Amino acid sequence: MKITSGQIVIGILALIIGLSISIQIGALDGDVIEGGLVPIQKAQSLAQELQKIRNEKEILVEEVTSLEAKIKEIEEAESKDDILLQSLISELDKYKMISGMKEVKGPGIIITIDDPPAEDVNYSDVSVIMYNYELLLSLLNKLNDAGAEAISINGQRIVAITEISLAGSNVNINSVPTAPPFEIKAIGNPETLDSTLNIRFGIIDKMRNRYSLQVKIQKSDEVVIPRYNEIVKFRYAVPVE
Amino acid sequence: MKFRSILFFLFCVIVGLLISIQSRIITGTFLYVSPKVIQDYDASIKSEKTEIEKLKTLISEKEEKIKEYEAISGKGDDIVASMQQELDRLKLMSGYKDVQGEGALIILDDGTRELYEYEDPNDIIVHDIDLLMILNDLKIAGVEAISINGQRVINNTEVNCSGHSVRINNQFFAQPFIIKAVGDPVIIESALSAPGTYGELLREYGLILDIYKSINIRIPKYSEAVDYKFLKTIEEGEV
Repeated sequence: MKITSGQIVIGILALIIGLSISIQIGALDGDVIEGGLVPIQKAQSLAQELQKIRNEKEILVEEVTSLEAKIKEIEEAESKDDILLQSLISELDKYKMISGMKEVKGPGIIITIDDPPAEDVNYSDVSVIMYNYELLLSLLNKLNDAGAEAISINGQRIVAITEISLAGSNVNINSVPTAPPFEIKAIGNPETLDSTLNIRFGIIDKMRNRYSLQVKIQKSDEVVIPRYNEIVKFRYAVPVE
Repeated sequence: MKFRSILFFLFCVIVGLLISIQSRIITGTFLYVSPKVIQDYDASIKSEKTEIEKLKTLISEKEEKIKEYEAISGKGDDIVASMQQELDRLKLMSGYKDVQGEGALIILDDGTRELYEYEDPNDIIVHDIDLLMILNDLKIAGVEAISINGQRVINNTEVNCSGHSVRINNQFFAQPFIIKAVGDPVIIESALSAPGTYGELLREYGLILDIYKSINIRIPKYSEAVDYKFLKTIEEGEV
């Protein structure tokens, strides 16, 4: 059989059609995107979803605050001329603050820790700071030692039973998954906190030089730290008088 | 031949259309997104979702409380009892109350083995990071209260290695470290001794880590007064 020029053209055209259809399908199917070239709509949809969820959270946070205000109102109305109740209310306020159930503010520092920059020679796909989360434990410990009065990591208030655990590709704090960059906020004397962390061969030095992490420390006159928002159910511990 | 050229023409039209559609999708609307960015988004979304779940439980609890208050309003004694209960819960949570319950007693001490030639003695000595990791592992295991050498571990407890001793809650201690934890004894034991855990690693180095499960562990409260110098609460409406 003789191959005509028409057949060649049709062959090439068929190839192009096949290719475009397969690219088309590849671009449109699948909800899971793993990076690479992604249609902008899909990338945006993730951002939008996050925004939506954040807004929802905002509303819930506001609801909690207003409910709490209402509870307090009732308590105060009940205790108008009751000294016992009034002292109880101030005790409650005090322990809400101590146990981390209240949003707080004060002078302090904000530390941002991120993985080594991508062009770094030691860079690998695994996150350095996540696989070495003992650095975070150590940092918290140093902050406490320097007299920090309240601390949060990525919006998670550190309370007595706060854990930091590596779970898959996230680090869970208060059982909420988070990922780098880690933003650590601490309230306390900014100068003391800053110099405790920055001493030579101290924790920040170690993070920067041994682990090539990107660390930024910023002193601030007003740091706002959110409340702890989980209801702790005690199953084993029984209070004793 | 005529039929052939019509077919050919149609073919060209289809290809042209396809290419133009394709290029419209590609031009400006494709974006290089690194896997890390996607992961970050995923993590943030997951994180916010967990937060929302927690907030919802919190809201339902607060609503119940309001209902309870409304039911008992006017009866002074009942509201006192209800508030007292809330206060006890907060104290329990923050470590300002003695507690007891099932749990485990853990003893952590320096190793007693001989050092290898030129080995660093630090290998068999308990450091602050060891204690921190053990505490963290206990918290991951869902422990509800912890003390080290009688010092209750609260949110701003520090464990500071200072030469031969360790400072915990501003008091000095030396080895052995006796850690008490209230929680599920079986989980505690496995959290510190399963293969791959930090506890197992310490044992491999030759440190002493003993775990004794117990049906009744008593943990004292945090005994120092709190005096916040910098902290202020934010009232409603403030930013």
